[in-house]
Amino acid sequence: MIEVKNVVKRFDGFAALDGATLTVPKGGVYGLVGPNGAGKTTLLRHLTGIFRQDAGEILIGGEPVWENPALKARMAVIPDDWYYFLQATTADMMRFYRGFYPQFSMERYNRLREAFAIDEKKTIRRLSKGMQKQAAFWLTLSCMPDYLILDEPVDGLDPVMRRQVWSLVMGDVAERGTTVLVSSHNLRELEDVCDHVGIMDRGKVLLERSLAQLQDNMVKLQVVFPDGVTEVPPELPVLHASRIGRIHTLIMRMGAREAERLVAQYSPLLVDAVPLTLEEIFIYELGGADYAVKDIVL
Amino acid sequence: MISLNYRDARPIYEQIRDELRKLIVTGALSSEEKLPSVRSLAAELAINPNTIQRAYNELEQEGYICSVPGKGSFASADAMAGAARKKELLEKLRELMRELRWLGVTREELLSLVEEGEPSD
Amino acid sequence: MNWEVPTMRSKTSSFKGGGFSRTLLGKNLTRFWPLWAVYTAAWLIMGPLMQLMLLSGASAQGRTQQRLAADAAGQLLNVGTKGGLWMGVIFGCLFAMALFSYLCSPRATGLMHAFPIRREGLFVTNYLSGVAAFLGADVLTLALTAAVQGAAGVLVWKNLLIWFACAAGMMLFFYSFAVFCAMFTGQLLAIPAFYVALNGLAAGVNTLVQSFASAFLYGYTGGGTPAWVRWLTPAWKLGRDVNTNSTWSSRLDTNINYRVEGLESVAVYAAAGLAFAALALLVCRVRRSETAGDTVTVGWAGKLFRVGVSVCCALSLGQGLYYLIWNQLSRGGNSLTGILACMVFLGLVGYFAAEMLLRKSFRVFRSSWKGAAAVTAALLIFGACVRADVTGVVARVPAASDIRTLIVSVGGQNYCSAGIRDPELIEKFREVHRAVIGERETMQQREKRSYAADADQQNSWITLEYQLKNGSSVRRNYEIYYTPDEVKDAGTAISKLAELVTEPAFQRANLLGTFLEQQGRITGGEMSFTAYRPSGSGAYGDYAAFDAAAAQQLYDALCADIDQGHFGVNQFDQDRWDQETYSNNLTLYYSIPGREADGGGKEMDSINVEFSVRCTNLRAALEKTGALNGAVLETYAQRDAWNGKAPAEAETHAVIGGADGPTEILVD
Repeated sequence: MIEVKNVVKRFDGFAALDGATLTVPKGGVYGLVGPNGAGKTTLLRHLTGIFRQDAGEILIGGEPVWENPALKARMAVIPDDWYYFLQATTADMMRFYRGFYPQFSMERYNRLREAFAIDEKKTIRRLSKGMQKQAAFWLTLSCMPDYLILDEPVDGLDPVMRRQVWSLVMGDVAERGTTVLVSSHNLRELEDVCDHVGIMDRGKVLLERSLAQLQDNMVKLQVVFPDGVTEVPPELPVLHASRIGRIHTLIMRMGAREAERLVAQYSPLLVDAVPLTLEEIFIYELGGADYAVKDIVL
Repeated sequence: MISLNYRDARPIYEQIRDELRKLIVTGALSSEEKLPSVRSLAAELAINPNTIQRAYNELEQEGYICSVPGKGSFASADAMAGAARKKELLEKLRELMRELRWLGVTREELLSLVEEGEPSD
Repeated sequence: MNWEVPTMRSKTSSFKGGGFSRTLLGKNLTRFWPLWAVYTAAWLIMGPLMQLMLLSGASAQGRTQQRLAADAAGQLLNVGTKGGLWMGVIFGCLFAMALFSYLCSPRATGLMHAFPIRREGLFVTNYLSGVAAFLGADVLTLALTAAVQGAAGVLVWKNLLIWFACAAGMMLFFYSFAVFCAMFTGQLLAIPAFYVALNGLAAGVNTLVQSFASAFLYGYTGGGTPAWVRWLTPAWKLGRDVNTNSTWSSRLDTNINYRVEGLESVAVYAAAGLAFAALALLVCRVRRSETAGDTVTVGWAGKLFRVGVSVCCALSLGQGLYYLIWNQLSRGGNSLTGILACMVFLGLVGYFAAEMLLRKSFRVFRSSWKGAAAVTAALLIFGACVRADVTGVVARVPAASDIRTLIVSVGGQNYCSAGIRDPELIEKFREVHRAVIGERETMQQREKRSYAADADQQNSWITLEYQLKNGSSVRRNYEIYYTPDEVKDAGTAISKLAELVTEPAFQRANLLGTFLEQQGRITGGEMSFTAYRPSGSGAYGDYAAFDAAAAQQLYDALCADIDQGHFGVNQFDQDRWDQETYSNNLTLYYSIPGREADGGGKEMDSINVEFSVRCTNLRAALEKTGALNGAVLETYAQRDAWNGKAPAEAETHAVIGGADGPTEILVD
C-alpha cells in the first residue's frame, strides 16, 4: 500500500504540491492523471525518495520512504527522463542496477531479452527514444520490484510496444501482486490498465476512485417522456440533463437498473441506458462545466 | 480469441464478459473446458487483472462459468444455471419482437426466424 | 473485490543497503578512467620517467654514484613539493567535479537518489572513489620510482616516503576542499569557480581592504599578510612553506643533503582536508535533490553568496573603477566620496548579478531591493567608519611597553633604515610619530598642493614598523611636506626628525646594523673616485683599495664620527647636503665568523658609507692610510658643477683637481 498524506512541497515559494493525498491499495494499479504542471512528476519523485516533502507523510507499506534503502530496494522507477551514463550500454546499466537491487533477477533479464529487441551491447545514447524507454523497462522489470513507479511510461512507444510493455507489467501485477503507480496526462491510456484513478491538478489530488465503483455508480439514460411531460421531473436525482427534440439525456449517480426503475414511474415512451466513457464519468464527477475538467482528463 | 474494441463505449470488463459469453454460447468454448487464467489473460490483453477477474465473477454469477478453487475457471456444463440471464434475454426478445411487428414484420416471418435460429439437434 | 494474487515475498529482511556501494565504486573507477589515467600518467612522467632519464640518460654519464644519488633525491623531492602542489590544485578540483557531477544534473541526481542507498552512502562511496584513484596512482608512482632508483642503486626510502606524503597529503586537501565546494553548487562549472574563489578569497580580500585603508587612513600602509590569511590561502601557504632545501658541495659539484621543510603544513592541510570531507558530508545531507542546476544549493550559502559577491565586487571592481576614472578627474588626494560611489555602484551590480545567478532570472530588482539596500548601507557605514577612524588606526602609536623592535626608514637626502631596540631611542621616535599625526591636516592640504608644483615645498617620508611583543606589527608610512624654515623650527615634526637622524644610536644602527648584528670582522675596503688623480697613472674612475688594517682604522674613525653626530646632518636640506657630502662612497668589506668561506671571489658583505665634510675623523683616517694616493674627495656640488660645465672649462677643473686626464669622464 502506498499512502501519500497531505504532502506539501514548495520550490522557491511556489507550491508544486499543495496538500496532495492519495492511497494506492496493495496490488492495485493506480493511474495518476493530470495536465502538465499538475505536480505528478514531483509527487512521484517524492515517492521514489528523490525529493523530501516540506510537510505531510509518504508511506509505503507503512514505512516512510525518505532515506529508507531497505524499502527502496523493493521499489523500481521509470522516470520520464531516465538517466543513463554517457557511454553506457544496456548491459553496463544492467550491471549497475544489479549491484543496487538485491532482488535483481538475471533469469528475468535474460527472458525479457526476447521481449525487447534491443542490442544490449549498443550505447544507450545511440538508441532511439522509444528504445531507451524500453531499455528502462527491461532493467526496471528485472529488478523484480514490489512497487513500481512509472512516470509517463509509454510516452514515445509505438502501439505494439505499448501493449507489450503493459502486458509485462500486468503479468507482474497478476503474478506477483506488484503495486503500480503510473502517471499520465492521458486518461484513455490508463483506462485498460488501472483499477484506480486519481485526478491531479495544481498540486492536489482532486479525487480518486476505483474504476469498478465509478462504472457501476453512474449511468447515462436516454429517455422520451410521454406527451405532456416536457421537463425532466424535478424529483428525479439527476446530475446533469440535456435535451435534443423529445429525447432527454440524463446523467444519474446510480446503477443502470435502479435508474431505469425510477424513470419507469413516469411511463416513458423510451428508456435506453447508454454506457459512459471514463472521460465523461470524470467530467461529471468533477462537477462538469464549472471546472476546466476537459483540459485535465482529455 | 478475445478482441477488445477501444472505440466501444462499454467498459472493458463488460466487453470481456460479453466476448467470453459469446465464446461459450457459440460452443467455441465447449462445456467444462478450462478458461484462460486471469493472469495469462491480463498479460495477453495488457489489461488490469482485476478487470478480468470482474468479468469472470459476473459470468460466474450468470451461470456461464464455474470456478474450482486452485484449478481455475471452467465453462459451465449446466446451461440451466443461467436463469437470471434467461429471463433478461427473453425480455429483450419480447422488446425486439414488438419493434419488428411495428416495422411491419409479420408473425409468420417471426416464427420462421425462430425455427431458423433453433440449433439443429 | 476479494480477488488477490498470492505475493511472492522476497527475502529483503537481510538487506542492509545504504552504506558504501562497491557497485558505485566500480562504476566510478571505470567510468572516469581517462581522468585517472591522465593523473597517473602525469605522475609517472614526473616520477619514474624523469628519474630514469636522470639516472641513465646522457647527462648521467661520467657522474659519480654519490652525485647521481644527490641529484636523484633533489629531483624527487622538488617534484614532490612543487609538482605535488600543482597536481593537487588542478586534479583535486577535476576529481571532485567528475565524481560529484551527478549532483549537477537533475536526471542523474534522480537516478542516483532513487537507488536503494542513503545519501551518506553515495557521498562516502564517491569520495572514497577519488581517494582510491589518487592513492592508487601515487602508490604506483612510488613503486616504479623505487624500482628505478633501486636499479640505479640510489634508493632512499625516506625521500620516497616524503615524496608520497607531499603528493598524497596535498592532493587529499585540495580534493576534499573541492568536494566541499561542490556540495554548495548544482552547476558543474561553478565548482571550479567556487574552488578558485575560496582558495584565494582571504588573500584577495586582505589585499583589497588594505589597499582601501592605505588610501584613506592617514599613515596606514598595510599590515602585511597576517598568518591566518596565509593559512586561509592554501595554495599560497603550501607554495611558500613546503620547500626543498640543500647545501652546496663543491666537492661533488652539486647540491647535497636534500631535505623538505614545511611538512607540518602538509600535515595540517591533510587533516583539514579530512575535516572538509566531514563537513561536506554534513552539507550533502541537507542539500536537496531539486537544487541540481542551481548556482547555490544551500539556503544560507545563497545569502552568503549574494553578500560575498557584492562585497568582493565593491572592493575589487569598485576600487578599480575609482582609480581608472574618478582619480583621473580629480587631481590631488583621494576622494572618499568618490571611491564609495564607485564601490556602492559595483557592489549593487555584484549583488544583482549574484541574485540573477541564484534565481536564473533577470527580473530580480523588485524582489531583492531590500538586500541591495542593506549592502549599500553597509558600504556607506564602512566608509563613514573609515572617515571617523573608529578603529583608531590613524591615531595609534603603540605603547612603549608593547614594542619589541622598531624599524625606521627615513627618506630625504640619504635613505636611512634602522632596527631599533633601545627604549630611549624608540621613545624619541614615538614622539616624532605623535608629532607627525598631529600635523595630519597640514600634511594632507600640502599633499594636494604638491601637484601644483609649489616651489617652496619639499617632501620626504618616514616609515615606522613597530614589531610588537605579541608577534603582530604596526606599519605606518607618512609623506612629510615641509619648507626649509620648518626644519629649523623646533616645534615641527620635521625638525624633530632632522635632529633624531643625527643621533649616534640611530646612525649606528643605520650604517652598521647588519655588521654589528652579524658580528662581522673587517677584512678590507675600497673607495671609488669619479675625479682624476692629481698625478700618477692617470686612470679615471679608479678606486682605492684598503687592506684589512687600513680598513679597520677607517672603521674606527667611522664609529668616532657617528658618535660625534657627524652623520645624518642635512638630511632634509638638499643644498647643504650637496655642498657638504662627498660623492665618493666608502665601502668596507667584512667576513662573518662561522659562515663557510667560499674560495675565490669577493666578500659579498659590506658596509657602504656616504659621508660628508663634517666627518673629520674619517677624513683624517683616509689621509693617514695613504691609499688615496693623492686622490681628492669631491662633494656632490663640486662634481655637479664640473659635470655641468663645458669641456673647455672642465680642463680648468682638471687642473684644479690636479688631474691630467682628458674629458671622457665628463659625459659619464
